[in-house]
Amino acid sequence: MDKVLTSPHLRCRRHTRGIMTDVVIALVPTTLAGCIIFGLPAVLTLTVAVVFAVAAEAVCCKLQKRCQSIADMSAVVTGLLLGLSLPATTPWWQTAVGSVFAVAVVKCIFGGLGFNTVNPAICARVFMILSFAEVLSYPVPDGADTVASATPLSYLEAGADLSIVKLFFGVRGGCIGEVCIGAILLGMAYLLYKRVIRIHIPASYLGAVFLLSLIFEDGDPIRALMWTLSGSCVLGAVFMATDYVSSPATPVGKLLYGAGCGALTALVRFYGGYPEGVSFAILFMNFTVPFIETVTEATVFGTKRGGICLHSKM
Amino acid sequence: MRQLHHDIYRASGKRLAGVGVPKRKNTDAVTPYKMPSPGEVILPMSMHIGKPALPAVKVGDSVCMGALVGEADGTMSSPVYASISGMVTEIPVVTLPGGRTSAAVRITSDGEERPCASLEIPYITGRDSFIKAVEKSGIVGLGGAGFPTHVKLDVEFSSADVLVVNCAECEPYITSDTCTAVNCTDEAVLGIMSVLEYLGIPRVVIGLEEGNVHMLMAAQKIAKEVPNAELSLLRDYYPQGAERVLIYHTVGRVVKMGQLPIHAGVIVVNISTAAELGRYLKTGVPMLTRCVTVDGGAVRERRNVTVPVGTKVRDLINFCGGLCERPKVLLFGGPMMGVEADSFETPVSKNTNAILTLTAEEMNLSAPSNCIRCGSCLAACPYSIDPAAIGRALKRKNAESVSAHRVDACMECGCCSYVCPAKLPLAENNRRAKIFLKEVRNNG
Repeated sequence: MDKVLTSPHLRCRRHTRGIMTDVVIALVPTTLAGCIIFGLPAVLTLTVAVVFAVAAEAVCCKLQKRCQSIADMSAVVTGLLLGLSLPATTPWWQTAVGSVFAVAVVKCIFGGLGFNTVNPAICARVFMILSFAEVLSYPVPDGADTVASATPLSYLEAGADLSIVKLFFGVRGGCIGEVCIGAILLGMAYLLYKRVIRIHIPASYLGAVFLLSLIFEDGDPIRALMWTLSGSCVLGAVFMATDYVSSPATPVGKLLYGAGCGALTALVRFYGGYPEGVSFAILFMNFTVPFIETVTEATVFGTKRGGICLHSKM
Repeated sequence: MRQLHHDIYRASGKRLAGVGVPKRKNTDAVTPYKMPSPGEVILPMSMHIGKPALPAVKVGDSVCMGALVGEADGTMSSPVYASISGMVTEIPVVTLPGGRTSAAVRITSDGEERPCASLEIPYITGRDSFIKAVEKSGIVGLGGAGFPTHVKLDVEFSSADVLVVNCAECEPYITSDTCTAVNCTDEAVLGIMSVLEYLGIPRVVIGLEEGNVHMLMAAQKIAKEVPNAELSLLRDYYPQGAERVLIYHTVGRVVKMGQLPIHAGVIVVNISTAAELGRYLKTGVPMLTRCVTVDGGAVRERRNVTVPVGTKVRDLINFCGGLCERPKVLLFGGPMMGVEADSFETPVSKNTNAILTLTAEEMNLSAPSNCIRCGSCLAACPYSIDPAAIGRALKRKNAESVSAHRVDACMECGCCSYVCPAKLPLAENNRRAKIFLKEVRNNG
């Protein structure tokens, strides 16, 4: 049946694969920076993450008798994002387990792309944090004059100061993708230019982290900025929280969601038992998305809701 | 380099959303070709919204150009006139684009093009005789909807305070309105002036897209002739020509759901309808021909053609050099809202503004995949409806949820389907959802 039944008989050129490819392109600077800073182990981790994610997708499609969906590039994005949110020293088999968990358990069991309630990469990372201790021990890149296995966050928590310039270019400890803020922002600029994402979620996310850090740090803007730029906060705000499937579609909803992620991140950092709260914050906010979408639903033109006609100009 | 146009024009405080469709106005502002009288015409009794007309002739009757062949059945109907002279050879039932069927009158030409002697210029003294004349002219909304014009204009004297002239031709390909505006400016002025005068409307706004240069020139000419006419330039995106969108963007008024423009004090008339009205008032000849854009990759010569109403698509396409390949789809109207015809025997109706023979490459089709919840459909919908949510609710057969998302407000402009990166048939879903709701309501 190749007959078109109804209008419109014209479609635009944007398609899912193109969007996913754009995300991969946006991740190229971050990936390169990570590989340069951490060297061969980073390359290995990323490769394992992507290969196992794609393989898991292919196997799941086969087992579930769905049509093969590896061509939509979403498994590549999931694998790459998971790899980037892991330390370069993660044992390869752990990365593989995480990748398979992300694609098979978080995504495919629910019916594949679009049917998952939570972000696969984030959920897999939380799963790995809870299962493997290595995920939270960070390597330190060569040349950084830092104490071994300490991340900027542990410095900040100990009350020490950091150089913002070093944070920006990634000369510090941390996960593969989170260290070079400049590369992440470059990727964000590309996504915004290509209209893949909108600024709402990253802005409200980072804004909320900054504001809360400002409050907790008694109004010291420099230290608040360091809190915002360290850890996987920027990576999470730009690439993880903006995942279409697990974030709200309405503009106001995006702002609320981003702010919620930011607030939770800061709260976990300052009061929680874990040094970093990005994964937990986003995972938790994923579950609130249906609620946020219902609350922030736009008023249909020419109709009234709650007695107010938002479009009325008369 | 790939063109970087905006796919989605997002809503702002004063603007409704829409999509940037490719223009493809290949037939821009050429004097329309006049098609010679075809060998036969098929005049469907239903070329408008409302009750079909009743055939007023029998097989074997001889008719002249302008003779009544279909009598209006009540007020919400419109008469049909013979567009060629000849003999009635059959009263068949024909399938119209979109699958509806209707009785029709087939007239075989005698080649003489005899005009009827009885036609006379209408004598108009005031509102009532004006409406009567419009009713007799057989004019319906020529922009595509086919709403009987006399019903639209049948409002209390001075109950409307603004007339909006729809010059926004936002569908790709179609240029028949532009063509009419450029070539029949005087008639359009007369049509607009008479509506203003007989209905007591003090204000007129001409709404058009800023990118349509030919239309802009014609509109400026019209504005010079019509006292106090205002031009309202709209940004270049689809669907600026949709009635409620146009009213909101030109005069800033909201036509509430389930209401007509007159409830907001507005009457909207398409520029082609106005020109046809002016021509009728000047000559007394009812609606016999119309300007049609013939375009699409499969037709040899893309042109605007003035054709007798009831001309078969086959004859029209042959006049345009025939087909150079098999089209994927034969459309009546634009690619966004047009309906598909299944046969080249289908006749051109009063409200047919374009015949498009689209090839598969032009339509840019691909197979649907899963919804990735990107929110493009929601952002592109002029009315801020959430088609993805309606689709999910429909899948669950949840009537309450379908109706809570206001699917009944959907005008089926197709913006959602157009932008969807997963290529889902969202507009079609909305149509199905409306039918589903109707069924649920009928079953209690």
